[in-house]
Amino acid sequence: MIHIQGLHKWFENQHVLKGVDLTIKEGETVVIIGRSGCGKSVLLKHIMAILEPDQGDIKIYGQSMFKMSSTEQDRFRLQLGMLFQGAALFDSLNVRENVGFSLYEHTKLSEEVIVQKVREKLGLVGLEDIEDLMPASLSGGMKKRVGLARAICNEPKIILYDEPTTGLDPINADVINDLILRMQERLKVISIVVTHDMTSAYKVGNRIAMLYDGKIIAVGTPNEIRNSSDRVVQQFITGSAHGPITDQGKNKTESL
Amino acid sequence: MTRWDKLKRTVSVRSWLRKFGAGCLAVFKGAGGIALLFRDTCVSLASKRIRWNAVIDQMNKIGVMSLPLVFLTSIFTGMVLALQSAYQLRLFSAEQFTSDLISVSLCRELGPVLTAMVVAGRVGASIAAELGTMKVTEQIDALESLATNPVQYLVAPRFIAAVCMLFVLTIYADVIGMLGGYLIAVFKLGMSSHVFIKRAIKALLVKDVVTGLIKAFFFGGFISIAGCYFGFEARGGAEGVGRATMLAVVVSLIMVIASDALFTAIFYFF
Repeated sequence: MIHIQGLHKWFENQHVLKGVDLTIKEGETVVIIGRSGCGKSVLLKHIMAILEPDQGDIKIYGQSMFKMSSTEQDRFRLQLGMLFQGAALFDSLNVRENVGFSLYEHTKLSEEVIVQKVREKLGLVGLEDIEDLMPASLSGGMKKRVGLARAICNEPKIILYDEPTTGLDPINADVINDLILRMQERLKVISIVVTHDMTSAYKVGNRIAMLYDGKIIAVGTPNEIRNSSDRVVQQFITGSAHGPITDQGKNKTESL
Repeated sequence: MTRWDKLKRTVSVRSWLRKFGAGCLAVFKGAGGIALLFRDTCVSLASKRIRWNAVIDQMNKIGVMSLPLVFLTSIFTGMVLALQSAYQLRLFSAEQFTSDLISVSLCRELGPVLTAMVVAGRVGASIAAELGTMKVTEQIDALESLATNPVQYLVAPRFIAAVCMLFVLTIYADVIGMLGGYLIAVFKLGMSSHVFIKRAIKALLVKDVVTGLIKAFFFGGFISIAGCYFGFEARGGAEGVGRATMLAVVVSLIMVIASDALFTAIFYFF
């Protein structure tokens, strides 16, 4: 279980997260939606403890990573896996070394066992015979799938997805959505998906939370969100250019 | 002076002070950041596993691949030094001291400083660009998410490699620089080969060579830490990486020259 309490984050004078509260239950997939630049990825990096909050806390299975030493944090992080927006594969390593990175770094498994595990994880994401390729020679969709294989290689209990379908064509985006569902089915993990792609959000999410103006303003099942009476939520999910979100921006510009 | 002029003057002084203050803050932030990264690197070296494969790989990139550039810089510097010193010494009919001057000035000063400058330009920029690209493409965050400390994984191997290879490259630069001086002194100035070698070795004290190598040791540390720091600080895509690279080279060069002045003063007095 993940419990986010009153999370605040400032970047110099910019108050990005203004008290985020959210609880994610065991085996659940929560999709966090919101406009670009609203702090969704920042929130994910806090869950991973890559960023530290200025105020508030995140408890994962009752433990706060921010109160741990760096060694304890590293040990705890092995329970989490993250798929980054651009996959963030290491350019200097081939696919096998990328996917098996945490096994090479944190276990004493033999090369044969690691190769076997890497092959198995690549199989889970529908890839084979690409172990010796370098990331530069992979397509966008393949990179995301290799990134996902890397995230699940250590068999984590929690998987974080940062914009998993951004930059992909609709078919590849749906392949990734299916993969997220399959991971959920097979690994029974907690999944947190950050996206602004509503097709993906409705398909993979058990619950959807909307982040707006640094706070979670609505949480509910895909149906509840679809039928939400909140005008901000409605404008976002329908993708309308007119409404409270854009009006606020316009008012700010006019007041300048 | 009218009230308007006074106001304008106050505003311009204020904006100048604001700019000056922001500049000072940036300098202190950079100096503090470099010092903290150096501390973290030392802690990582003392408490965590050193990745020797990465160290050897970096030694190849920093040291072996810098050999041609250091060769060219040193040989031409040696030649120029021979010609310029002979030109001045001729006025006192003391051309035979050319070899003494070349060997001492190369080992004490020019060898370590020129090598450090070449390495700062080539290696400092390459470290900052590589780490900066990793930063903006979230590869550094990915390292952390895979429970790997970026300082241990990326900075420590570069630091060890730069410190060791600057040491080796400086010895190489000293020898090649003297070879350049030898070629000019023997084939252009008509000095005997035997006399050049004998005088060059006789003029050198152990202290001259050791002080140069101590400097090289520190220069290697400065270049690698500054490169890594500005790489980690890169923000916002290609422009941010370019800026980080430029800052890494500029700051490394300033650190090399400033610390050279400090070391020279220390070695002069003690």
